[in-house]
Amino acid sequence: MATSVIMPKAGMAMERGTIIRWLKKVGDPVIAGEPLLEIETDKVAMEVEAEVSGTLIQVVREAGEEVLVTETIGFIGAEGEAAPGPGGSGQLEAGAGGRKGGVRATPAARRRAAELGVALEAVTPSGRSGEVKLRDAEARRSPAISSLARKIAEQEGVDPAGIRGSGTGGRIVKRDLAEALARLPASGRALARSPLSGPRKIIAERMLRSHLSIPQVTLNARADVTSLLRLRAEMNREIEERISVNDLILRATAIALLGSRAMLATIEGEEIVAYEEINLGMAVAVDSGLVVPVIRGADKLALPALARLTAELSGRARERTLKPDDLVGGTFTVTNLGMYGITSFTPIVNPGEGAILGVNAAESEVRLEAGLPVERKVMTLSLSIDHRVIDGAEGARFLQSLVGLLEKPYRVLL
Amino acid sequence: MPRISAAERGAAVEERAIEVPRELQREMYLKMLQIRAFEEKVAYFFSRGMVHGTTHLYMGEEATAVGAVASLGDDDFITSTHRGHGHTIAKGIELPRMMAELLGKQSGYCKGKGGSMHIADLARGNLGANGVVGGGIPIATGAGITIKLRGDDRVVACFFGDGAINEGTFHESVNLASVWKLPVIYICENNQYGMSMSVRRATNIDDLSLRAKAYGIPGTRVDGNDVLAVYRAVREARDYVRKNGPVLIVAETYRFSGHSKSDANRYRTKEEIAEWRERDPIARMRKRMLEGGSATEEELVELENGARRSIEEAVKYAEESPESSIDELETDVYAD
Amino acid sequence: MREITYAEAIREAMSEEMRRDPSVFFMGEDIGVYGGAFGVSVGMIDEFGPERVRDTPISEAAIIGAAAGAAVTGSRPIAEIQFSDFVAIGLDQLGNQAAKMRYMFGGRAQVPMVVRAPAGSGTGAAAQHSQSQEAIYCHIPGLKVVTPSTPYDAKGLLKSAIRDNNPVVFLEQKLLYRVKGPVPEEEYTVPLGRADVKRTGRDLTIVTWGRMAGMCLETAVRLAEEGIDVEVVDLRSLVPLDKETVVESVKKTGHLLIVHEAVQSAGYGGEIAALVADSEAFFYLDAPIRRVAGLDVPIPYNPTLERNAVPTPERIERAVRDLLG
Repeated sequence: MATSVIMPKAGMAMERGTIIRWLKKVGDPVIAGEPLLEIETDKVAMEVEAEVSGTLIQVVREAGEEVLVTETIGFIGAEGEAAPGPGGSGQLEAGAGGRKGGVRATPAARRRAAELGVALEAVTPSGRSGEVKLRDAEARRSPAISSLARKIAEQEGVDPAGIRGSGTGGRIVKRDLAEALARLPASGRALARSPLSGPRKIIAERMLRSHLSIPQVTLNARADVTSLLRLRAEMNREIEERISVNDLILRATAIALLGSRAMLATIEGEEIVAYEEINLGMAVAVDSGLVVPVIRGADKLALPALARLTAELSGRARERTLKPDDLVGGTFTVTNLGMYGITSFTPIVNPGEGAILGVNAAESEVRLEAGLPVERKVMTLSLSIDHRVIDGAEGARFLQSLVGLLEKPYRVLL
Repeated sequence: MPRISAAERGAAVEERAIEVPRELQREMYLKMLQIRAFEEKVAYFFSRGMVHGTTHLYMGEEATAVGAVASLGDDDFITSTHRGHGHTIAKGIELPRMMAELLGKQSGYCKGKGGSMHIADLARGNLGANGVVGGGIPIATGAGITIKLRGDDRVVACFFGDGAINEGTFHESVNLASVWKLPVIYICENNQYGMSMSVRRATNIDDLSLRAKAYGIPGTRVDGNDVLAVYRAVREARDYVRKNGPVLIVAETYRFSGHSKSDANRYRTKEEIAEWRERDPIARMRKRMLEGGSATEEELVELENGARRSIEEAVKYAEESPESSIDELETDVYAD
Repeated sequence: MREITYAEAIREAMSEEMRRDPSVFFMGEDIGVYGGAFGVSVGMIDEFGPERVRDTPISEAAIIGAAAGAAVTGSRPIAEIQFSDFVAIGLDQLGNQAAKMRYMFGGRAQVPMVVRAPAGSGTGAAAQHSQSQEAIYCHIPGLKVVTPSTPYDAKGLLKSAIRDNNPVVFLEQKLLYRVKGPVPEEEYTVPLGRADVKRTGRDLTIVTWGRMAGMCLETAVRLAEEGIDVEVVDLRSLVPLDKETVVESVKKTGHLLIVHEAVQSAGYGGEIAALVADSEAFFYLDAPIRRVAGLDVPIPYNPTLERNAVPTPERIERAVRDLLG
C-alpha cells in the first residue's frame, strides 16, 4: 500500500506551497528522513523530508505547481508497486483539499482539471448539485497549440492565449506564432516570462496591499553617529561577537520603542491593535528577493545576544533554512540600505505593522565645533508610518528619541 | 419393505436363462470387488479428511450397476447419480484417474473440478454422475434423441434412485421417450430410502415398476442384489428398446452405508441393515460361482487379490499426482 | 435490400443451419404443424419432417434437459420454450446441468445447444407471460445470453448461436416478431460478444438491448433535432459482453444512461454501471450513471399500467435531458 506524500503545513498561516523541485525521481529509493523535495511557501523555501522509506512510485504534482497544504503530491510505495494513478486516493484528496466537504466535481472534471493544471477550487461549478462539470474545467483551458508552436511561445515569452489559431479546429501552429511575434513592438518584447510565484508573488501582493490600503508618511531625521561608530570599532576589538552598525541600530530602536509604544499599533478591520511585544523584523536581501526574519522580544536582548541572533538569522536566510515560524509575529520592521550608499528612501510599511524604519548610509560631514571644522558621520533615518493609526508627531517623537540614543551610544549599552 | 420372493425372481428373468459365460461372470465379480474396495478406501480417506465435501457410497448395490453395464456395449451411454462410483467403475473408467479426481488432483478425470458427484467419462459413454436428484434423467433422454436421429444401434441406460422417481423430470422424460420411442433403459435403483425417506412413505405403491403402465411401456422388477438377474433383465431390455422405445426396470437393493458420510442411520434399524447384509451381492455371487463351477476358490482369491491391488495402485497414482492447478480455475467454463 | 420480419429472420436462420448441418434439430411445444405459438416455425416441419422438427409434450424440464443430453452426445439441438417465463420450469436442466457440464467434467464435454424463448411485455399477457429475465441467465457461468433487436441481428446472431459450442439462451422480443427490417439474401453471421453502435453521437451514451434499442433510437433521433447527440449502443450479446465498446463510448461522451425492459433491481444494467465505474471510463464521467428500467413490479394486465411498468420514450428522454443538464 502506497503512502502519500503531501504538501506539509509548515506554519500556522500556511495555506499553499509551491514545489521548487523534486530531489528524487520516480523509481528512486527513499529513506525516511531523507530530503525528498524543496518547496516554497509565501515566507520561506524549505526541504520536505520523506516520512517513510520505500520507492518514489509517483509524482502527482510537478515542480512549479502551487498546491494546497495537505494535498497529495506524490506516493512512496514498494519497488515495482503500481502507482495509485490519477483516480487514487491522492486525487480524491486533492479535490477535497484535505477539508471536509471539499470541491464537488465529476470524475471527468477532475481528470481534465488535473491535465490542464487547473485548481478545482478556482473553477465556478455549473452542475445541478453544485458540482464542477467537465465544461467548467475546460472553460479555463489554454488554447489548442502544436508542440512546436508551444515551444516557440515559451522561448519568446508570448502568451498563446491571445493568439488566433489558423490550424485545424483553431489550433495554434508555428505560422500563427511567427505572425504574432512580428506584430509585437520591438521594445515590448519580453526577455523572459516566468510565473509570478513563491516569495516574489508574496512580496508583490504585500507591497501592493500596503500601498493601496495604508496612507503612509515618511519622516526623515539625521543622527550624528560618529560616537556610535567609534564605540562599535572599540567593541569589536574587545569582545568576541561581531557587532554591526545594524545591531546597534536595532538595539537602539528596541529601546526607543519602549518609550514610543504608539509605533507598535496597526489596524485590523475595524479594530486598532496595539502590540505588546517588541518583535523586530529585520529585512534581509536574498537571491530570490527579500525575507524578513523576526527578532522576538528584541528589547530584552543584550547587545551580544542580539548580535549573535541577527548573524544567525541572516545566515539562515541566505541558506534558505529559515523555518516558517522565524518569519511571523513581527511588530516593527527595520530595513537597511546603508550598505548600498543610499542616503534617503521611502520604506513601505509591512501590512500588519504600524511603522518601518529605513536606515541609510552614514555620510561624512564637516561641522563647526567651537569654530573649528570637524568631520562627523551623519546618518539619515527614514521612518514610514501608517498615518491612519500613528500621527506625525508620534513618529517624530520616536525618531527624536532614537536619534538621541544613537548620538549618546552608551545609552544603547544600558 | 418390499421383499422379492424367490418366486418373483424366478418369474422375472432367471428362467429365461440367458447364458452368462464364465469369463463374463468372473469379470462382473471383479468389477463388484473393485467397487467395494474403491469405496472402502474412499471411506477411509474421508474419515481422515483427504476426501473433502461429501461422498455417497454405493456399497451393497454393486450388483445393479455391474449387472446392468455388463449387458451394454462399450459405446452405449449411461447417466449416473450422486451415488455414482459403481456405475462409473462398471463402465470401465481408469481407477487411478478416478481416485485422483476424488482426491482433487490435476490428473483426475475432471482435473479435480468435479469430485465424487460429477465424474464423467465421455469417451466410454458415461455422461456423468449428477449432483441433482433426477437431474440426469432428461439428459439420458436427450442422448436417446441423438441415437435416434443418427440411426445408431446404441442405447442409453439411465440410472436413478427411488427418490428421483418422484421428481418431475422422471415423468417428463419417460413420457417424452415413450412418445418418441427413444432407446432408453430407465433403471430405478430402489435402495429403499431417499436420504432418510423410506420409499414406503414416499409413494403409495409397493412396486415402483407399476409406473411404467402410465407411459404405456414395459416395467419389470428385478433383484438388484443378484448380478446375473440384473444382467439378464437389462440384456433383454437392450434388445427391446432399440426397436420399441423405453422400458423401466426397478432393481430392488439396499445401501449398506448411510446416505452420505454425515448419516447417523436414525431412520432404519440395525436389524434391517443386518438382514440386507445377509444378501450382500458380492458374497452371493461368490457362492454361486463356486457352486455352479464358474470358478475355483483359487481363481476367486486371485480375483479378490487383483481387485485390492488395482485399488492400491490407483491410490498410489492419485496420491503421487499434483493438486489441481490454480491455473485451471477459470478454464473450461466455455468451449471455443 | 429486401425486408423481412424478425420472426422470418429467425426461421431463416434455423432452416439454413439445419440444411447446412444434419446434427442440428429443433424441438419444442407446438412448433410443428402449428408453426409455434408466434408462428416462427411455420412450414419448417414440411421441409425437415417430424424427426428434426419435433413437437414435444408440455415438458419444459425434459425439453431443456433432453437438449443438453442430445448436445453432449453430439447433436446441436435448438429448443424452443414457448414463453421465456417457463424456462423457470427447466432451470435446473439449464443452470445446473447444461451450463456446468463442461466445467464439472474438466473441459471434456461440450454442450452446443440453443434455448430460444420469447421474452418481454406489451402483449397484455400479464405477469407470467411477459417477463424479461435475462439477468438470471447472465448470472450463471457457462451460459451465453443473446437478445437481438433487429431482424438482421436476429438472423446473424441465431446462426452464430447454433454454431456455438456452448449453451446459448436466445431471448427473442415478442413485440418485434412482426417488425420488418433489411436482411440480405446472402449468407452472413453476427458474432456473439460484439455490441453494435446503432447510432453514433457525441453527448451521451445509451447502453441498451432487446426491444428497448428501438425505443432509444427513436428518442435519439427526436433529440437530435434539438442538437442533443445521443449514441445508442445495442449490446446484442449480454454474455459474452463487449466491454470495450461500452467503455470507449462512455469515454467519448462522458455520460451513461442504461435502458432495459427488465426490472431495475439486480438487473443486468447494474452490471453495466459497475463495469463503467470500474473502468478507465470512470474518469470521463461528467454526470452520475443512470438507469431507466422496468419498475420492480410484476407486469400488470391493464394496458396503461403495462406500458408504464417498463421504460417509455418519455422516461428515456427525461433521463437524457437530466444527465446533460
